[in-house]
Amino acid sequence: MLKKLFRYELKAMGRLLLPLYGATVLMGIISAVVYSFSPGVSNGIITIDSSSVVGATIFTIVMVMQVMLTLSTIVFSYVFAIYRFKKNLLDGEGYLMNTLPVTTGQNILAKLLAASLFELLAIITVLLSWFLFAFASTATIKDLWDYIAAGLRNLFVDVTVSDALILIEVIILVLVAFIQSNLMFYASMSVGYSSNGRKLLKSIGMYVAFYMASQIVGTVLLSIISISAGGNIESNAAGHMILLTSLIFSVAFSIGYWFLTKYFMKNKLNLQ
Amino acid sequence: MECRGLWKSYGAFPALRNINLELRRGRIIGLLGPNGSGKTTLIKLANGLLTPSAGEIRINDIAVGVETRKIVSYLPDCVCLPDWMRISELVTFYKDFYEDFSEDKANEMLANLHLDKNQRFKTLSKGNKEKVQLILVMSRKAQLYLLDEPMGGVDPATRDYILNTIISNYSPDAAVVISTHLISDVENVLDEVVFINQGDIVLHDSVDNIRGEKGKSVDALFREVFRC
Repeated sequence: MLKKLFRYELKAMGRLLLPLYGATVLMGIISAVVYSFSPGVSNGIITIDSSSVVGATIFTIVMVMQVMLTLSTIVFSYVFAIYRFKKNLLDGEGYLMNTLPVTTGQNILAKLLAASLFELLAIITVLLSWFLFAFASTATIKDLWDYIAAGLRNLFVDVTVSDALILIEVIILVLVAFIQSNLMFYASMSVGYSSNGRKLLKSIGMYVAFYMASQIVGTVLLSIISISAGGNIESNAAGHMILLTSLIFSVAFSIGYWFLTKYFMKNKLNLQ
Repeated sequence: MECRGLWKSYGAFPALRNINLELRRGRIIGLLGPNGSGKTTLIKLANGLLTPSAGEIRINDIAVGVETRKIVSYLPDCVCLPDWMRISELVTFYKDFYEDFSEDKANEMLANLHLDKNQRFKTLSKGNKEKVQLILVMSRKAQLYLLDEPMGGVDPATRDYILNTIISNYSPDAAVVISTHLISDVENVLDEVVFINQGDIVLHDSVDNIRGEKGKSVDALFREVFRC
Protein backbone atom coordinates (compact mmCIF):
# COMPACT_ATOMS: atom_id res chain seq x y z
CA MET A 1 0.00 0.00 0.00
CA LEU A 2 2.92 2.34 0.77
CA LYS A 3 4.17 1.85 -2.77
CA LYS A 4 0.78 2.84 -4.18
CA LEU A 5 0.49 5.88 -1.90
CA PHE A 6 4.02 6.94 -2.84
CA ARG A 7 3.29 6.52 -6.54
CA TYR A 8 0.17 8.72 -6.34
CA GLU A 9 2.04 11.32 -4.29
CA LEU A 10 4.88 11.44 -6.83
CA LYS A 11 2.30 11.94 -9.56
CA ALA A 12 0.48 14.68 -7.63
CA MET A 13 3.68 16.60 -6.89
CA GLY A 14 5.42 15.88 -10.17
CA ARG A 15 2.67 17.30 -12.35
CA LEU A 16 3.48 20.78 -11.01
CA LEU A 17 7.11 20.54 -9.94
CA LEU A 18 8.66 18.69 -12.88
CA PRO A 19 7.72 21.40 -15.43
CA LEU A 20 9.24 23.97 -13.05
CA TYR A 21 12.43 21.94 -12.75
CA GLY A 22 12.51 21.53 -16.53
CA ALA A 23 12.16 25.30 -16.95
CA THR A 24 15.02 25.90 -14.49
CA VAL A 25 17.36 23.58 -16.39
CA LEU A 26 16.27 25.14 -19.68
CA MET A 27 17.02 28.56 -18.25
CA GLY A 28 20.54 27.39 -17.44
CA ILE A 29 21.01 26.41 -21.09
CA ILE A 30 19.54 29.71 -22.29
CA SER A 31 21.83 31.63 -19.90
CA ALA A 32 24.83 29.71 -21.20
CA VAL A 33 23.90 30.41 -24.83
CA VAL A 34 23.18 34.11 -24.18
CA TYR A 35 26.44 34.43 -22.23
CA SER A 36 28.39 32.87 -25.07
CA PHE A 37 26.90 35.16 -27.70
CA SER A 38 26.63 38.44 -25.79
CA PRO A 39 29.32 40.81 -27.05
CA GLY A 40 29.06 43.00 -23.95
CA VAL A 41 29.75 40.19 -21.47
CA SER A 42 33.17 38.76 -20.76
CA ASN A 43 34.46 36.85 -17.73
CA GLY A 44 31.20 37.57 -15.96
CA ILE A 45 31.60 41.35 -16.32
CA ILE A 46 28.95 43.27 -18.19
CA THR A 47 30.30 46.14 -20.31
CA ILE A 48 27.70 48.42 -21.78
CA ASP A 49 28.66 50.56 -24.75
CA SER A 50 26.92 51.50 -27.96
CA SER A 51 27.89 48.27 -29.71
CA SER A 52 26.89 45.84 -26.95
CA VAL A 53 23.94 47.42 -25.16
CA VAL A 54 21.37 44.99 -26.61
CA GLY A 55 23.41 41.89 -25.78
CA ALA A 56 24.21 43.12 -22.26
CA THR A 57 20.56 43.95 -21.62
CA ILE A 58 19.38 40.55 -22.81
CA PHE A 59 22.03 38.86 -20.65
CA THR A 60 20.92 40.86 -17.60
CA ILE A 61 17.27 39.91 -18.16
CA VAL A 62 18.21 36.24 -18.59
CA MET A 63 20.27 36.35 -15.38
CA VAL A 64 17.39 37.85 -13.41
CA MET A 65 15.09 35.15 -14.78
CA GLN A 66 17.52 32.42 -13.80
CA VAL A 67 17.83 33.77 -10.26
CA MET A 68 14.03 34.00 -10.02
CA LEU A 69 13.61 30.44 -11.27
CA THR A 70 16.29 29.21 -8.86
CA LEU A 71 14.46 30.77 -5.91
CA SER A 72 11.07 29.57 -7.19
CA THR A 73 12.35 26.00 -7.57
CA ILE A 74 13.63 25.84 -3.99
CA VAL A 75 10.84 27.77 -2.28
CA PHE A 76 7.97 26.25 -4.27
CA SER A 77 9.23 22.70 -3.67
CA TYR A 78 9.09 23.27 0.09
CA VAL A 79 5.81 25.17 0.10
CA PHE A 80 4.12 22.64 -2.18
CA ALA A 81 5.25 19.75 0.02
CA ILE A 82 3.66 21.43 3.07
CA TYR A 83 0.55 22.30 1.08
CA ARG A 84 0.19 18.69 -0.07
CA PHE A 85 0.31 17.41 3.52
CA LYS A 86 -2.34 19.89 4.62
CA LYS A 87 -4.64 19.52 1.62
CA ASN A 88 -4.34 15.76 1.23
CA LEU A 89 -4.46 14.67 4.87
CA LEU A 90 -5.89 17.47 6.99
CA ASP A 91 -8.27 19.20 4.60
CA GLY A 92 -10.95 18.13 2.09
CA GLU A 93 -9.00 15.28 0.51
CA GLY A 94 -8.34 13.97 4.02
CA TYR A 95 -11.85 12.48 3.95
CA LEU A 96 -10.63 10.18 1.21
CA MET A 97 -7.05 9.58 2.32
CA ASN A 98 -7.83 8.95 5.99
CA THR A 99 -10.51 6.41 5.13
CA LEU A 100 -8.31 4.33 2.84
CA PRO A 101 -7.34 0.93 4.22
CA VAL A 102 -3.80 2.08 4.98
CA THR A 103 -2.09 2.85 8.26
CA THR A 104 -1.45 6.39 9.46
CA GLY A 105 2.29 5.71 9.26
CA GLN A 106 2.00 4.72 5.58
CA ASN A 107 0.10 7.90 4.77
CA ILE A 108 2.72 10.10 6.48
CA LEU A 109 5.70 8.16 5.11
CA ALA A 110 4.46 8.41 1.52
CA LYS A 111 4.22 12.20 1.90
CA LEU A 112 7.62 12.42 3.60
CA LEU A 113 9.45 10.35 1.00
CA ALA A 114 7.92 12.20 -1.94
CA ALA A 115 8.51 15.64 -0.38
CA SER A 116 12.15 14.86 0.51
CA LEU A 117 12.78 13.40 -2.93
CA PHE A 118 11.42 16.48 -4.71
CA GLU A 119 13.35 18.83 -2.42
CA LEU A 120 16.55 16.95 -3.20
CA LEU A 121 15.65 17.05 -6.88
CA ALA A 122 15.12 20.82 -6.60
CA ILE A 123 18.65 21.27 -5.24
CA ILE A 124 20.11 19.05 -8.00
CA THR A 125 18.09 20.98 -10.62
CA VAL A 126 19.38 24.33 -9.39
CA LEU A 127 22.98 23.08 -9.28
CA LEU A 128 22.61 21.64 -12.77
CA SER A 129 21.16 24.89 -14.07
CA TRP A 130 24.07 26.96 -12.72
CA PHE A 131 26.56 24.28 -13.76
CA LEU A 132 25.33 24.62 -17.36
CA PHE A 133 25.76 28.37 -17.14
CA ALA A 134 29.22 28.03 -15.56
CA PHE A 135 30.21 25.59 -18.31
CA ALA A 136 29.66 28.34 -20.89
CA SER A 137 32.08 30.63 -19.08
CA THR A 138 34.91 28.07 -19.12
CA ALA A 139 36.64 26.66 -22.15
CA THR A 140 36.33 22.95 -21.41
CA ILE A 141 34.81 20.56 -18.89
CA LYS A 142 38.34 20.01 -17.54
CA ASP A 143 38.65 23.76 -16.84
CA LEU A 144 35.32 23.69 -15.02
CA TRP A 145 36.27 20.66 -12.98
CA ASP A 146 39.65 22.25 -12.09
CA TYR A 147 37.75 25.32 -10.93
CA ILE A 148 35.35 23.25 -8.76
CA ALA A 149 38.21 21.16 -7.36
CA ALA A 150 40.13 24.31 -6.44
CA GLY A 151 37.05 25.65 -4.68
CA LEU A 152 36.66 22.43 -2.68
CA ARG A 153 40.36 22.47 -1.78
CA ASN A 154 40.03 26.04 -0.53
CA LEU A 155 36.98 25.04 1.49
CA PHE A 156 38.91 22.29 3.25
CA VAL A 157 41.91 24.57 3.79
CA ASP A 158 39.65 27.23 5.29
CA VAL A 159 38.24 24.90 7.91
CA THR A 160 41.56 23.12 8.31
CA VAL A 161 39.92 19.73 7.83
CA SER A 162 41.25 17.68 4.96
CA ASP A 163 39.46 14.45 5.69
CA ALA A 164 37.14 13.27 2.86
CA LEU A 165 34.89 11.78 5.52
CA ILE A 166 33.65 15.22 6.40
CA LEU A 167 32.12 15.60 2.92
CA ILE A 168 30.17 12.37 3.41
CA GLU A 169 29.02 13.58 6.82
CA VAL A 170 27.83 16.86 5.29
CA ILE A 171 25.87 15.06 2.55
CA ILE A 172 24.18 12.74 5.07
CA LEU A 173 23.42 15.71 7.31
CA VAL A 174 21.80 17.59 4.41
CA LEU A 175 19.61 14.58 3.58
CA VAL A 176 18.56 14.16 7.21
CA ALA A 177 17.93 17.92 7.42
CA PHE A 178 15.41 17.63 4.55
CA ILE A 179 13.56 14.91 6.45
CA GLN A 180 13.75 16.80 9.73
CA SER A 181 12.41 20.04 8.26
CA ASN A 182 9.50 18.23 6.57
CA LEU A 183 8.63 16.33 9.73
CA MET A 184 8.74 19.53 11.76
CA PHE A 185 6.09 20.99 9.46
CA TYR A 186 4.03 17.78 9.64
CA ALA A 187 4.20 17.67 13.43
CA SER A 188 3.22 21.35 13.71
CA MET A 189 0.24 20.90 11.42
CA SER A 190 -0.96 17.62 12.90
CA VAL A 191 -0.98 19.21 16.37
CA GLY A 192 -2.52 22.50 15.17
CA TYR A 193 -5.21 20.83 13.09
CA SER A 194 -6.25 18.55 15.96
CA SER A 195 -7.80 21.55 17.71
CA ASN A 196 -11.34 22.80 17.24
CA GLY A 197 -10.57 26.29 15.97
CA ARG A 198 -7.83 28.59 14.63
CA LYS A 199 -6.09 25.51 13.28
CA LEU A 200 -3.68 27.33 10.97
CA LEU A 201 -2.68 29.83 13.63
CA LYS A 202 -2.04 27.06 16.13
CA SER A 203 0.02 25.18 13.53
CA ILE A 204 2.20 28.26 13.01
CA GLY A 205 2.52 28.62 16.79
CA MET A 206 3.61 25.01 17.10
CA TYR A 207 6.14 25.46 14.31
CA VAL A 208 7.66 28.49 16.06
CA ALA A 209 7.82 26.51 19.32
CA PHE A 210 9.52 23.53 17.64
CA TYR A 211 11.93 25.81 15.81
CA MET A 212 12.91 27.63 19.00
CA ALA A 213 13.36 24.34 20.86
CA SER A 214 15.65 22.98 18.13
CA GLN A 215 17.66 26.22 18.06
CA ILE A 216 18.11 26.22 21.84
CA VAL A 217 19.21 22.57 21.90
CA GLY A 218 21.53 23.17 18.92
CA THR A 219 23.16 26.20 20.55
CA VAL A 220 23.65 24.38 23.84
CA LEU A 221 25.27 21.41 22.07
CA LEU A 222 27.57 23.68 20.04
CA SER A 223 28.62 25.50 23.23
CA ILE A 224 29.40 22.20 24.96
CA ILE A 225 31.52 21.04 21.99
CA SER A 226 33.26 24.41 21.83
CA ILE A 227 34.11 24.29 25.55
CA SER A 228 35.30 20.68 25.35
CA ALA A 229 37.51 21.58 22.31
CA GLY A 230 39.09 24.40 24.30
CA GLY A 231 37.45 27.06 22.16
CA ASN A 232 39.11 25.77 18.97
CA ILE A 233 36.06 24.65 16.97
CA GLU A 234 37.95 24.86 13.68
CA SER A 235 40.07 21.86 14.56
CA ASN A 236 39.63 18.63 12.64
CA ALA A 237 38.31 16.73 15.65
CA ALA A 238 35.88 19.48 16.62
CA GLY A 239 34.62 19.63 13.02
CA HIS A 240 33.78 15.93 13.10
CA MET A 241 32.25 16.29 16.53
CA ILE A 242 30.01 19.14 15.38
CA LEU A 243 28.82 17.26 12.29
CA LEU A 244 28.23 13.99 14.11
CA THR A 245 26.44 15.72 16.98
CA SER A 246 24.30 17.67 14.49
CA LEU A 247 23.48 14.41 12.75
CA ILE A 248 22.46 12.68 15.97
CA PHE A 249 20.51 15.78 16.98
CA SER A 250 18.68 15.89 13.61
CA VAL A 251 17.88 12.16 13.70
CA ALA A 252 16.61 12.43 17.31
CA PHE A 253 14.39 15.41 16.48
CA SER A 254 13.14 13.68 13.31
CA ILE A 255 12.15 10.60 15.31
CA GLY A 256 10.38 12.80 17.84
CA TYR A 257 8.47 14.70 15.14
CA TRP A 258 7.57 11.42 13.40
CA PHE A 259 5.98 9.90 16.49
CA LEU A 260 4.25 13.15 17.39
CA THR A 261 2.77 13.43 13.89
CA LYS A 262 1.70 9.79 13.91
CA TYR A 263 0.15 10.05 17.37
CA PHE A 264 -1.91 13.12 16.53
CA MET A 265 -2.96 11.85 13.10
CA LYS A 266 -4.04 8.52 14.55
CA ASN A 267 -5.54 9.52 17.88
CA LYS A 268 -6.48 13.19 17.57
CA LEU A 269 -7.58 13.52 13.95
CA ASN A 270 -10.22 16.21 13.81
CA LEU A 271 -11.63 16.66 10.32
CA GLN A 272 -14.58 18.86 11.16
CA MET B 1 -22.09 -1.01 13.77
CA GLU B 2 -22.28 -0.56 17.50
CA CYS B 3 -21.87 2.58 19.63
CA ARG B 4 -21.48 2.33 23.38
CA GLY B 5 -21.62 5.40 25.60
CA LEU B 6 -20.37 7.51 22.71
CA TRP B 7 -19.66 11.17 23.41
CA LYS B 8 -18.14 13.80 21.16
CA SER B 9 -17.56 17.40 22.19
CA TYR B 10 -16.14 20.31 20.23
CA GLY B 11 -14.64 22.30 23.07
CA ALA B 12 -17.42 22.81 25.61
CA PHE B 13 -20.13 22.02 23.06
CA PRO B 14 -21.32 18.40 23.09
CA ALA B 15 -22.15 17.29 19.53
CA LEU B 16 -23.09 13.74 20.61
CA ARG B 17 -24.23 12.72 24.08
CA ASN B 18 -24.02 9.18 25.35
CA ILE B 19 -25.04 7.47 22.12
CA ASN B 20 -25.90 3.78 22.42
CA LEU B 21 -26.86 2.33 19.09
CA GLU B 22 -26.73 -0.98 17.27
CA LEU B 23 -27.26 -1.23 13.52
CA ARG B 24 -27.54 -4.66 11.88
CA ARG B 25 -26.81 -6.11 8.46
CA GLY B 26 -29.39 -6.36 5.73
CA ARG B 27 -31.08 -3.09 6.61
CA ILE B 28 -31.26 0.34 5.00
CA ILE B 29 -31.25 2.79 7.86
CA GLY B 30 -32.13 6.46 7.73
CA LEU B 31 -30.11 8.64 10.07
CA LEU B 32 -32.45 11.56 10.26
CA GLY B 33 -32.25 14.85 12.03
CA PRO B 34 -32.22 18.60 11.49
CA ASN B 35 -29.05 20.51 10.61
CA GLY B 36 -26.47 20.39 13.41
CA SER B 37 -28.11 17.46 15.15
CA GLY B 38 -24.95 15.28 15.11
CA LYS B 39 -25.56 13.04 12.07
CA THR B 40 -22.32 13.92 10.31
CA THR B 41 -20.35 13.75 13.56
CA LEU B 42 -21.59 10.19 14.16
CA ILE B 43 -20.65 9.12 10.64
CA LYS B 44 -17.21 10.74 10.89
CA LEU B 45 -16.59 8.95 14.18
CA ALA B 46 -17.45 5.66 12.49
CA ASN B 47 -14.81 6.44 9.87
CA GLY B 48 -12.11 7.52 12.31
CA LEU B 49 -12.10 11.09 10.98
CA LEU B 50 -12.93 12.27 14.49
CA THR B 51 -11.99 10.69 17.78
CA PRO B 52 -14.61 10.10 20.47
CA SER B 53 -14.42 12.20 23.64
CA ALA B 54 -15.70 9.13 25.50
CA GLY B 55 -17.15 5.73 24.72
CA GLU B 56 -16.44 3.57 21.71
CA ILE B 57 -17.65 2.69 18.28
CA ARG B 58 -17.11 -0.74 16.72
CA ILE B 59 -17.85 -2.13 13.30
CA ASN B 60 -18.14 -5.88 12.87
CA ASP B 61 -16.93 -5.98 16.47
CA ILE B 62 -13.64 -4.31 15.48
CA ALA B 63 -12.47 -0.90 16.73
CA VAL B 64 -12.36 1.71 13.96
CA GLY B 65 -9.09 1.40 12.03
CA VAL B 66 -7.48 -0.12 8.96
CA GLU B 67 -9.53 -3.33 9.20
CA THR B 68 -12.87 -1.51 9.40
CA ARG B 69 -11.93 0.75 6.48
CA LYS B 70 -11.67 -2.36 4.32
CA ILE B 71 -15.34 -3.11 4.88
CA VAL B 72 -16.82 0.39 5.17
CA SER B 73 -17.68 2.45 2.12
CA TYR B 74 -18.03 6.10 3.05
CA LEU B 75 -19.58 8.97 1.16
CA PRO B 76 -18.69 12.27 2.86
CA ASP B 77 -20.98 15.28 2.84
CA CYS B 78 -18.43 17.26 0.82
CA VAL B 79 -16.59 16.75 -2.43
CA CYS B 80 -13.25 15.31 -1.39
CA LEU B 81 -11.69 13.64 -4.42
CA PRO B 82 -8.39 14.97 -5.83
CA ASP B 83 -9.61 17.44 -8.44
CA TRP B 84 -6.56 17.15 -10.71
CA MET B 85 -7.39 13.55 -11.60
CA ARG B 86 -9.50 12.42 -14.52
CA ILE B 87 -12.56 10.28 -13.74
CA SER B 88 -10.76 7.25 -15.18
CA GLU B 89 -7.82 7.88 -12.84
CA LEU B 90 -10.17 8.07 -9.87
CA VAL B 91 -11.64 4.72 -10.85
CA THR B 92 -8.11 3.28 -10.98
CA PHE B 93 -7.34 4.89 -7.62
CA TYR B 94 -10.32 3.13 -5.98
CA LYS B 95 -9.42 -0.13 -7.71
CA ASP B 96 -5.85 0.15 -6.40
CA PHE B 97 -6.85 0.64 -2.78
CA TYR B 98 -10.09 -1.31 -2.33
CA GLU B 99 -10.14 -5.03 -3.01
CA ASP B 100 -13.95 -5.02 -3.10
CA PHE B 101 -14.15 -2.35 -5.81
CA SER B 102 -15.77 -3.33 -9.11
CA GLU B 103 -14.41 -1.37 -12.05
CA ASP B 104 -17.10 -2.78 -14.36
CA LYS B 105 -19.87 -1.62 -12.08
CA ALA B 106 -18.33 1.88 -11.86
CA ASN B 107 -17.94 2.12 -15.63
CA GLU B 108 -21.53 0.98 -16.16
CA MET B 109 -22.89 3.62 -13.79
CA LEU B 110 -20.68 6.33 -15.30
CA ALA B 111 -22.04 5.44 -18.74
CA ASN B 112 -25.64 5.44 -17.45
CA LEU B 113 -25.17 8.95 -16.11
CA HIS B 114 -23.40 10.08 -19.31
CA LEU B 115 -20.20 10.99 -17.50
CA ASP B 116 -17.11 11.12 -19.70
CA LYS B 117 -14.28 9.15 -18.06
CA ASN B 118 -11.67 11.34 -19.67
CA GLN B 119 -12.98 14.49 -18.08
CA ARG B 120 -10.95 16.02 -15.27
CA PHE B 121 -12.78 16.00 -11.95
CA LYS B 122 -12.30 19.73 -11.40
CA THR B 123 -14.09 20.56 -14.65
CA LEU B 124 -17.31 18.83 -13.54
CA SER B 125 -20.31 20.64 -12.10
CA LYS B 126 -20.95 20.25 -8.36
CA GLY B 127 -23.80 17.83 -9.05
CA ASN B 128 -21.69 15.69 -11.37
CA LYS B 129 -18.85 15.64 -8.85
CA GLU B 130 -21.28 14.27 -6.28
CA LYS B 131 -22.49 11.67 -8.76
CA VAL B 132 -18.93 10.48 -9.47
CA GLN B 133 -18.22 10.29 -5.75
CA LEU B 134 -21.37 8.26 -5.12
CA ILE B 135 -20.65 5.94 -8.05
CA LEU B 136 -17.19 5.15 -6.66
CA VAL B 137 -18.57 4.52 -3.19
CA MET B 138 -21.42 2.32 -4.43
CA SER B 139 -19.14 0.34 -6.74
CA ARG B 140 -17.64 -1.35 -3.72
CA LYS B 141 -19.06 -4.53 -2.28
CA ALA B 142 -18.77 -3.26 1.27
CA GLN B 143 -20.38 -4.56 4.44
CA LEU B 144 -21.36 -1.12 5.66
CA TYR B 145 -22.19 1.91 3.55
CA LEU B 146 -22.15 5.22 5.35
CA LEU B 147 -23.72 7.81 3.05
CA ASP B 148 -23.73 11.36 4.37
CA GLU B 149 -26.25 13.48 2.47
CA PRO B 150 -25.99 11.46 -0.76
CA MET B 151 -28.59 13.54 -2.55
CA GLY B 152 -27.80 16.98 -1.23
CA GLY B 153 -26.85 18.72 -4.46
CA VAL B 154 -28.48 16.71 -7.23
CA ASP B 155 -31.68 17.12 -9.24
CA PRO B 156 -34.80 15.02 -8.49
CA ALA B 157 -34.30 12.75 -11.51
CA THR B 158 -30.79 11.93 -10.38
CA ARG B 159 -32.05 11.40 -6.84
CA ASP B 160 -34.22 8.58 -8.16
CA TYR B 161 -31.23 7.11 -9.97
CA ILE B 162 -29.12 7.35 -6.81
CA LEU B 163 -31.78 5.63 -4.72
CA ASN B 164 -32.12 2.88 -7.33
CA THR B 165 -28.35 2.56 -7.32
CA ILE B 166 -28.29 2.20 -3.56
CA ILE B 167 -31.07 -0.40 -3.55
CA SER B 168 -29.71 -2.41 -6.46
CA ASN B 169 -26.11 -2.42 -5.28
CA TYR B 170 -26.52 -3.24 -1.67
CA SER B 171 -26.49 -6.89 -0.62
CA PRO B 172 -28.31 -8.61 2.27
CA ASP B 173 -24.94 -8.93 3.96
CA ALA B 174 -24.54 -5.19 4.11
CA ALA B 175 -26.06 -2.34 6.07
CA VAL B 176 -26.66 1.03 4.46
CA VAL B 177 -26.86 4.15 6.59
CA ILE B 178 -28.24 7.20 4.81
CA SER B 179 -27.93 10.49 6.60
CA THR B 180 -30.30 13.08 5.21
CA HIS B 181 -33.01 15.58 5.93
CA LEU B 182 -34.71 14.94 2.58
CA ILE B 183 -36.95 12.37 4.21
CA SER B 184 -39.74 12.13 1.67
CA ASP B 185 -37.18 11.17 -0.99
CA VAL B 186 -35.70 8.27 0.97
CA GLU B 187 -38.68 7.13 3.00
CA ASN B 188 -39.73 4.41 0.59
CA VAL B 189 -36.37 2.64 0.65
CA LEU B 190 -35.78 2.71 4.41
CA ASP B 191 -36.17 -0.31 6.69
CA GLU B 192 -35.55 1.58 9.90
CA VAL B 193 -34.90 5.10 11.08
CA VAL B 194 -32.81 6.76 13.75
CA PHE B 195 -33.96 10.24 14.75
CA ILE B 196 -31.17 12.31 16.20
CA ASN B 197 -31.54 15.72 17.79
CA GLN B 198 -28.97 17.91 19.54
CA GLY B 199 -26.65 14.96 19.99
CA ASP B 200 -29.26 12.59 21.43
CA ILE B 201 -31.04 9.68 19.79
CA VAL B 202 -34.73 10.41 20.22
CA LEU B 203 -36.10 7.50 18.23
CA HIS B 204 -34.84 4.23 16.76
CA ASP B 205 -37.55 2.14 15.18
CA SER B 206 -38.49 0.24 12.06
CA VAL B 207 -40.43 2.04 9.35
CA ASP B 208 -43.13 -0.64 9.51
CA ASN B 209 -43.66 0.05 13.23
CA ILE B 210 -43.90 3.76 12.66
CA ARG B 211 -46.47 3.30 9.95
CA GLY B 212 -48.37 0.50 11.73
CA GLU B 213 -48.37 1.60 15.34
CA LYS B 214 -48.19 5.36 14.97
CA GLY B 215 -50.17 5.45 11.74
CA LYS B 216 -47.86 8.06 10.26
CA SER B 217 -45.31 8.35 7.54
CA VAL B 218 -41.69 8.87 8.58
CA ASP B 219 -41.84 12.33 7.03
CA ALA B 220 -44.93 13.27 9.07
CA LEU B 221 -43.40 11.90 12.27
CA PHE B 222 -40.17 13.77 11.60
CA ARG B 223 -42.06 17.05 11.17
CA GLU B 224 -43.91 16.35 14.42
CA VAL B 225 -40.82 15.46 16.45
CA PHE B 226 -38.67 18.27 15.12
CA ARG B 227 -41.30 21.00 14.96
CA CYS B 228 -39.66 24.39 15.58
